[in-house]
Amino acid sequence: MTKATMTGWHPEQELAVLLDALTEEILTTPDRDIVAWPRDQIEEASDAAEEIRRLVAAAESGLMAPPTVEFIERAYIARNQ
Amino acid sequence: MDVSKSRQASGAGSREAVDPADSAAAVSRALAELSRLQLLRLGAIARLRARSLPNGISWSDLLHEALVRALDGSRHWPSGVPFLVFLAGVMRSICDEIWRHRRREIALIAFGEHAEVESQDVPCPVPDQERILAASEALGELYRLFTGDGIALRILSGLANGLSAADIRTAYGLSEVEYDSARRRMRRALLRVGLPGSVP
Repeated sequence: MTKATMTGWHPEQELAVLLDALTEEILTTPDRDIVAWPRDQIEEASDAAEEIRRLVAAAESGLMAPPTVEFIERAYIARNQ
Repeated sequence: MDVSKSRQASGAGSREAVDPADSAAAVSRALAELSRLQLLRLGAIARLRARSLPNGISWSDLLHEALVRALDGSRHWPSGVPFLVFLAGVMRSICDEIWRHRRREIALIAFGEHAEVESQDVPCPVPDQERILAASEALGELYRLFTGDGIALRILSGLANGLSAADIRTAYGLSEVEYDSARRRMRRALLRVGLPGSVP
């Protein structure tokens, strides 16, 4: 019986190539293919899109809010004026 | 003319120096204009990319970080690159960055502040064992998404080996119709993965 060994396999490289290819698949899926999904799947997709919209809003509002340090400094100055 | 629209209209490939403030403002406008289908794609890409990350970092963490870097101007949106392609690239580079940090952390834990010098003397045939394990698991999960779909599994294997569509069809003896319909099934699965009723 021969002992089989796996050599030269680099899963991290294989995954990197696969993720690039699958990202391309997602980016190039025609809109018409998604619109043709069954109604329940379209509703799920809409909910998922709303979730992403909320994440976008959270990222934007997080940038607009002043850093905590600045807020604490301003509060300290205001109290001691 | 709207900067974000001119960026998308000018096609992929051209790269010019972009002012950070201009890039950030254009990102903000482009985000506001994303359609539901584009948002769905963005979420799907984040879910896909996050599969390669260490445990404990979720797809929403990854997406949030990419959005913050694009919005604060630390990642510039090159002229001529479609917006989602740009964000996908930001997520890709964040994933690489996370693993680089992880590698440095492990070296620091093992060798302290002289890690850069002392770790060179330790024989280790596989320096990134955690990353390799995570990649093996992620590959397994991706293949499991298409369990029972032999054609999709063959296409996946071909893509993982960097083959083109024509090469995959030739290598596995697939007709154009078989190939295209399997590709559509794969795209739907990728866009739906993580949604209710889909394979996790």
